[in-house]
Amino acid sequence: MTEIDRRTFMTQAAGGMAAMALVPNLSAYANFSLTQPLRVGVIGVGRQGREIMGEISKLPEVSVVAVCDADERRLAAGLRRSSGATGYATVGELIKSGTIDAVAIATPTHTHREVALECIQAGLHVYLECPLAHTREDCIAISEAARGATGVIAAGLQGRSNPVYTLARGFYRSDSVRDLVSMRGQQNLKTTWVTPSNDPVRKKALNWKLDPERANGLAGEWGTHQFDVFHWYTGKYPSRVQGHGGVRFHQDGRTVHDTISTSLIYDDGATLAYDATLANSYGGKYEVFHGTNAAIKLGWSHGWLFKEGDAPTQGWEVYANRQQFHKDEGITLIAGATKLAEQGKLKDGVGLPYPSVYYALENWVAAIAGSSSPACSIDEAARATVVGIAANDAIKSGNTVEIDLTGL
Amino acid sequence: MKLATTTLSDRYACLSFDAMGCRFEILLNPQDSPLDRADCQAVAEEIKELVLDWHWRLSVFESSSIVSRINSSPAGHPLLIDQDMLDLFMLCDQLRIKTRGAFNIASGSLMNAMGFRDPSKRVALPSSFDLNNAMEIDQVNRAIVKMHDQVSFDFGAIAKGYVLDLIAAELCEHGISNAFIHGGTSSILARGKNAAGHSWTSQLQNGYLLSMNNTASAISEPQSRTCQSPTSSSDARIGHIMDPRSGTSSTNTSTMIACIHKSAAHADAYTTACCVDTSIASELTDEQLSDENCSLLIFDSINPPVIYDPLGAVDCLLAKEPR
Repeated sequence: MTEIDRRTFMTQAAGGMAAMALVPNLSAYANFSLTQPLRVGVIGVGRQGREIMGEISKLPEVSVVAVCDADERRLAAGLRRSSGATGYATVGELIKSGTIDAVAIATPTHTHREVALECIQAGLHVYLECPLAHTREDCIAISEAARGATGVIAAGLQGRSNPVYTLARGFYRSDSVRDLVSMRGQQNLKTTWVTPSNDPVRKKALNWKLDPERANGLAGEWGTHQFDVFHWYTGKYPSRVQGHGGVRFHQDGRTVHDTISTSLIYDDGATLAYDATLANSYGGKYEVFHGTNAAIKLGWSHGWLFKEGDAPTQGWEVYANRQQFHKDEGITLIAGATKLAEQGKLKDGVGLPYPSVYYALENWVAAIAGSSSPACSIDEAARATVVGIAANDAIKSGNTVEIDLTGL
Repeated sequence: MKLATTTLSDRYACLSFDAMGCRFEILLNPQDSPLDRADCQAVAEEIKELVLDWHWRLSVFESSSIVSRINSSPAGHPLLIDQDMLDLFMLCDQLRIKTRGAFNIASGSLMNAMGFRDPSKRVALPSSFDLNNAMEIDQVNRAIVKMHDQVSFDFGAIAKGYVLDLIAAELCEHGISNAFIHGGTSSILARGKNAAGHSWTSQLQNGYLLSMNNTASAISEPQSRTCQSPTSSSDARIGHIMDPRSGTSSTNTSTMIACIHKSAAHADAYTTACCVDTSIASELTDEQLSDENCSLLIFDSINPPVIYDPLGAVDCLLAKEPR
């Protein structure tokens, strides 16, 4: 049927034709089949929560049926972005409704323990944004609860479900990179980190990231996500960290540094240099592994392999897509290249079509469907978060901080 | 000796970025606002996120956007959408009716057929294809129904204006009364005064100045984007503005339209409609224009501008600047 007339439409509408959700073609990277539609509640519908809602809408057989936020304005905005979801002001009311199978939690970091434990204890599947928590104690509490959970509990450290990062890890672990020399990461984005509001009480609640009592600065909020990539690739964790920081641009009375520089040191002598700033955007967000045969650079939607002149050539390299960066030529790492080539879409495949959070959510749903395990467990997220907390402590104190992952 | 200079960022919270195929620029003047300059900068960042959010929702060039998913869905089935999208569809349908069909978001179907999006995928539309009957809107269930598989929506003629209206609401919410924001210089929102205490002005390409006082404006030029004519064997190129009523490229090749309106979305839609057919301007009644605080200016390369301005709002059209 390509065309219908008004009379036919009215007849069918009166018969209650089932409405369709708008779902694009299935991802090229993961397949799953749910035995029944998954009903998701999103808790915390600020910017991140609403992005999660948008990405969930792309997943087949998954729908956001409830949104929850203690802030009235955000709750209203979240409801407007749903297709008929019900709104709740508290997590208790949401759970009591009995209308959801799963929750995605995108509340402020310092509230994660309370919200996550309530949902885990209710037997729900949980996707928990990261950093996991703002204290080591809260991380431990969430980890312990997750171990006893009946639902699928996944952490929102998105590197582990990112198809480019998965592909690149295969190269890292092969002879392509060879011996690790050093690592580097950064996130540069010129932004205030301020959420404006004319209401001083609301403004204080919304700007938790700029409160040193409630958050762990750039190292905690941003660094955690990238530290986990380094943990995943190397299978190792740093044993100590040094750092410093300052307010280099946003002279608005804040005490949380807008620029940081850290050095994370491993027992085998390797180092990870990590910088972040809210004062400049150059270079954006990336991670680099320097090896004796090649370097790998990961930029969340893209990845590249930069080979040394004396590294052996692999046969597939002859056909590889390449990009030039000043004096360096990178081989583009394209996830799903074979499938894209079969579909005639290889040239379109440079760069992921969806944001990282989509793949993390898809991975979580696939785990719920039973076709895989969560790419990032709560335990791994706890370890990455504690490293971020230690880095922040080092920056604030000016001291070398030992990183203790005992019990995590 | 160090020269003392002031830059825009000294006087305004400002931000510029690319979205919706153009450059957006935001200037927020903190004067008379409960927010200081730093908080105004945070508001500018929120505005940027709002625009980018709608960019990703409406882009026909992103396969996962809401509009792309709607366009690739089959006809006849109610397609669930959120309230924000529903509001936009309803506004566009109202504007289609107001402009006698000269503005129509379903003209994306024509753009597809003419090869604007992908020259290799031109497909002729059947003679029965009716752009005025492209969709049904179900407000109760928040759904729309495409009436034909080849219906393709394109919000390019209203998207910038629509987000400017949303921005206006955000500014009001934050108590910011002095601001100048534009998308690609063709869709503009002006509030209050600039840092010098004067009304914001916008210079048109033909040299005229528009002085804007708590209004929005839109400018439409017919030949700003072209493609090779699919019906001609020569290298002839045609304008990007489709006439939804005839199903062909608009015959207007030289007339520029400017619309001043309290709503940027309406300004966008009216300029597009009048660009399709300049007689639309004369068909809109004085009562209609007065109710909407709307003025229309029609420029061609030869004659003085024709102005439809029942409220006398265009004391705002300043003398043409000598080139």
